[in-house]
Amino acid sequence: MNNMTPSDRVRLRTVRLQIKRIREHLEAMQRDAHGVEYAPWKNEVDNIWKSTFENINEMSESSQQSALEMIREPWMMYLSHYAAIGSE
Amino acid sequence: MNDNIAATEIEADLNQARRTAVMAHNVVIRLRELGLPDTLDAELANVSTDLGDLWGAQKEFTDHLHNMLKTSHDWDSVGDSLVDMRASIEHIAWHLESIREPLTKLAEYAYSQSIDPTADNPPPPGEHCCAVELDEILEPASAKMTM
Repeated sequence: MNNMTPSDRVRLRTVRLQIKRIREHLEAMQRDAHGVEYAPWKNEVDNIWKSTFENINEMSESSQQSALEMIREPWMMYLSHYAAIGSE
Repeated sequence: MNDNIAATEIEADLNQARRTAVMAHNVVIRLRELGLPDTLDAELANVSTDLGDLWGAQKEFTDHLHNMLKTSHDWDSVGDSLVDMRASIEHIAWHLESIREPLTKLAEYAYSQSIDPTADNPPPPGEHCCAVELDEILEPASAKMTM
């Protein structure tokens, strides 16, 4: 971890910020689960996940492992609670 | 190990997330109160969330800029502040792209109503809206502007 390149540090912090943003948007989604706002919130969260995986994909292998470990819980939670909703 | 490099989550600001959702919801309430037709629901949905999130994002960006100018004490923290600002800017850019078209449609509808002699006068803001909750959000910003 201490040998992480500056590029990977930018990517890793970006991923950390993206996970933070996802958690915040899920909070907004829960508040408006039956409102017109739900679909745009979900669309943005899906987009952030896509960008998150793109960032991880560009990391070196050791940094990828750290990042994947960090996103495991929120990603599994998202898949189980939200991924199927709105895609039917 | 440097804490800044650790692959641990940054704590989400759920209070700000709720304020953002309230702001977005108030946009929906207000435009429906004005009589926006259901045919523009898709545009209303996008505009409300984009405006709510842009409102929250500008505050977040300001905080990051402040952190870099006032609290960064070494190159690590400068790097963190710069990445934080980059993430905020990308977030804002996503919403700028998303909001452009639906915002234009709503603006065109508003102007079409303003020149329609049969259209009802819009009700004043806040009659049916969660105005108290909105005031709680807006008050700190209003107070800062008057200082």
